[in-house]
Amino acid sequence: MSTRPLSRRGLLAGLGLGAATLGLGPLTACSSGSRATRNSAEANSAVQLPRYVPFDGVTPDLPGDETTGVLPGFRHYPTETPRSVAETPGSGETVSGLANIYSAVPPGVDRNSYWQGLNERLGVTLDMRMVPNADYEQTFSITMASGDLPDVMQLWPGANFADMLRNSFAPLDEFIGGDAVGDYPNLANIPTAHWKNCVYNGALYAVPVPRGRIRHYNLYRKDILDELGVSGEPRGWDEFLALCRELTDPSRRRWAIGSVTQAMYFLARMNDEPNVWREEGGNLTHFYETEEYQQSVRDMAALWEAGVIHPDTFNPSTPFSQYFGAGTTVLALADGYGSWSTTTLGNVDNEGFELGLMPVYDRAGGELAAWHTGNGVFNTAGLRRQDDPERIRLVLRVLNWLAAPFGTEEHLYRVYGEAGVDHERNDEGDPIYTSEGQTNTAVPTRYLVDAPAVLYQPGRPDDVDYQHAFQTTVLQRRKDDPTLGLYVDSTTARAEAAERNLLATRDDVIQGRKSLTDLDRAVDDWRSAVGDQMRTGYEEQLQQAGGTR
Amino acid sequence: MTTLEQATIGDDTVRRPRREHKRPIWMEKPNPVVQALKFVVLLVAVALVVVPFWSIVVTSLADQEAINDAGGGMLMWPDGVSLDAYQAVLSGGVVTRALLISIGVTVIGTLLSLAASAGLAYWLARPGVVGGRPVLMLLLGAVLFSPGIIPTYLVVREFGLLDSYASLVLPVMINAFNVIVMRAFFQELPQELFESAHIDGATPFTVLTRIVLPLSKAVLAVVGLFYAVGYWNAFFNALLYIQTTDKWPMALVLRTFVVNQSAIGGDQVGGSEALPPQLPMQMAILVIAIVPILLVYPFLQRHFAKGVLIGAVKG
Repeated sequence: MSTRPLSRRGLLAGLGLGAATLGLGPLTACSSGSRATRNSAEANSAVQLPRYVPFDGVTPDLPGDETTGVLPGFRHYPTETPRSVAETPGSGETVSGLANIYSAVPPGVDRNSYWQGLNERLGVTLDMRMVPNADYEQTFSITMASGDLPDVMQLWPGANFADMLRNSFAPLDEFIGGDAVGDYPNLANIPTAHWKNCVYNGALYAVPVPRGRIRHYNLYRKDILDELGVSGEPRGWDEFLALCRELTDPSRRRWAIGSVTQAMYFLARMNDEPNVWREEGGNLTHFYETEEYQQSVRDMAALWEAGVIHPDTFNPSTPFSQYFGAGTTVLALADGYGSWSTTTLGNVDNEGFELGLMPVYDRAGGELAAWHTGNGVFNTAGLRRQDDPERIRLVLRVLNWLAAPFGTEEHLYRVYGEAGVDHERNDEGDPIYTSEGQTNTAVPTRYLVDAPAVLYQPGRPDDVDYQHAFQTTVLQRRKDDPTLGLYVDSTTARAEAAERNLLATRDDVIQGRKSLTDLDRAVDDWRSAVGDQMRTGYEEQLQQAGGTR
Repeated sequence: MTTLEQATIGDDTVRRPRREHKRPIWMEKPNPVVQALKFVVLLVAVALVVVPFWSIVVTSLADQEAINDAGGGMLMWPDGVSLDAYQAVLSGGVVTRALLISIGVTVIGTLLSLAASAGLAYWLARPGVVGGRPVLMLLLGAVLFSPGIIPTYLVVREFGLLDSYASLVLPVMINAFNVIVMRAFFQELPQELFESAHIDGATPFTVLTRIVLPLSKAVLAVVGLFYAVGYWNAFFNALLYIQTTDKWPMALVLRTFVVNQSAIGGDQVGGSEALPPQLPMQMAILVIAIVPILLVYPFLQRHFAKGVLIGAVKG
């Protein structure tokens, strides 16, 4: 990473950002007027999103569906792995990156054959800086404040995000907007919907790390439900409550529900809450403000009262995934859909462990509830402003290589490393990590850009069929957030305090310590602190953009 | 006086018949009830410290099956011994390397810190030294006001220290509080010693190295331990300044093993995240991180107690 001399402007910008992240919101509030005009919907809707050109070199066993968001499924890793990038992206330059890491850190490049191989294939020295995810927010603001930006970094939306992007990051329209993305075929293979998350200030400011629109899975321990002889498809509230009662047995240290926060998403779908916002005739209502949300809180209070929620649920450091693996909690409602993989991998030695997926029926139990979808990205990554456009092209070529789709030679290497060293192919051709590969391949390039998501579980083809069928069923009726792709700066200290207070009040109501009137008051506070401002911002943008994007 | 003394002694024999010999109270035969009570209180105190350690060690030696049998939490009793977690943690060399780096930074950092702090404290302890007062005020100011993360970062960067081991030591080399403690200690040494050394022609440096420091082993041990533990546990400096993971100290590597686990599994986790370390691995790395600093403690403990005592009875 280069060390640039510190300029006066850089220092002031840095201090401003630093102050904002340290909770001194009002200091930065004076710039909000100008931001509103620059980050307007009119400007944003004029952006040409990269044209979607799907890669056709690999055919999935189970087709995906761009409209519903069902992911394509692969029962096994393709044996034929075509190349998707003809030329080596770089010629000996150094490209720096910054991203968070969830696993333990990999060995450094000198002692990591995988990383060396990656550099060789990319034709650059990839100077990858990684930070534990718990510390990423802080590192991000300090990196921004210092002005010492890497070439490409995982973005973290916070205060004055749009301003920050304009000041420090490169607009990418001339490089990948519209048809221009054709120069980077693997970036063109990322469906248009994912790029909506990358538009600010009337320009494309980032590349997406795409994920499935399904967002959540309601995982349950199928082995335990089978043993008890109960069904994992409760229809409606009454059956759900009965199931939770059935599953709970404190004398055997077993509760139905682990995390209340996640389970609220399950009830949100069941009670037909808006997916964040509800749009009716250009007017927006936030889910906090709805009767349906109150119903969900009442339901959660009833579940708490029934004793089917693990008593440690309100302790944020409760190891829910451990509890789920041990059968201490039986349902992992509204867990990230990727936790199917992590949970399966984490329990390979767990005898009898079997997962199931629970669909959500409406409250009355008549039909499937509308499925709240996610925004389709894990995060986005921005490219530092550069004087030389060739440098941006180089970084984009590197990202293009890293975004190589599932089943290509590049993808196989990026994710599974070198055959015989980092992975071995099993009888069915699935790459299985060696212990060396497990640590070596943890270099977190996957948070700078990623291939479009697919369903694939090495050595477990039935899992893929099962998940594909589940996604096809529940995504028949989907409910999107109408503000997806719009941006209103809502990160101020007051907003965060109001939100925290609201959630704390919700938890108190659930535990019977406060009443719904208190919750109403907390919602009012939230509305005046941030809710109304967000509503106005989004409504204006929706109006200018002519309806939901 | 004599009558008073006799009267007191007489009173004593009448009022306290149980004290057969005229011994001070701490030489009396202990009361078994009080002894038992003390034993219980101390046992509880020791258990509060030892039980978590025990649980960490036992869990680090467990396999996933034993963890599941325990309901997914920590183990209290061993259920078979498995070294898998240690093997997993130590494979790849990341942890062993970080351990060496931590030991290096701690040893070198502590020595430098002690040298700098002792020099500064000695200077400030001498009466009538030029500029002593403003510097002392500056030190006291540093105790009250922290410079903030971003300005510190910018200073470190402008000195070109980013991604160097020096960035782990230099910004925190002098701790104002420790200097003030040492200064107070030095001030209590008999000034006559310094004066006689001066008369014999000793320079201030000779006085410091030949007279002051040998007399100050206790405070050096205490402050040294403060510094050492500080360097050993520091992860935040490394997080900010060290960009190459190969240069990470143990505390930061430990952090990637331990804190990440709770965050994953949230609602945004997608398809290709790597697996976070499991509970036995987390506990194994905790053990690995605790052991070296634990080994140092017994050697310094003697001085530690003495240092505290010296401070307590003087003044």
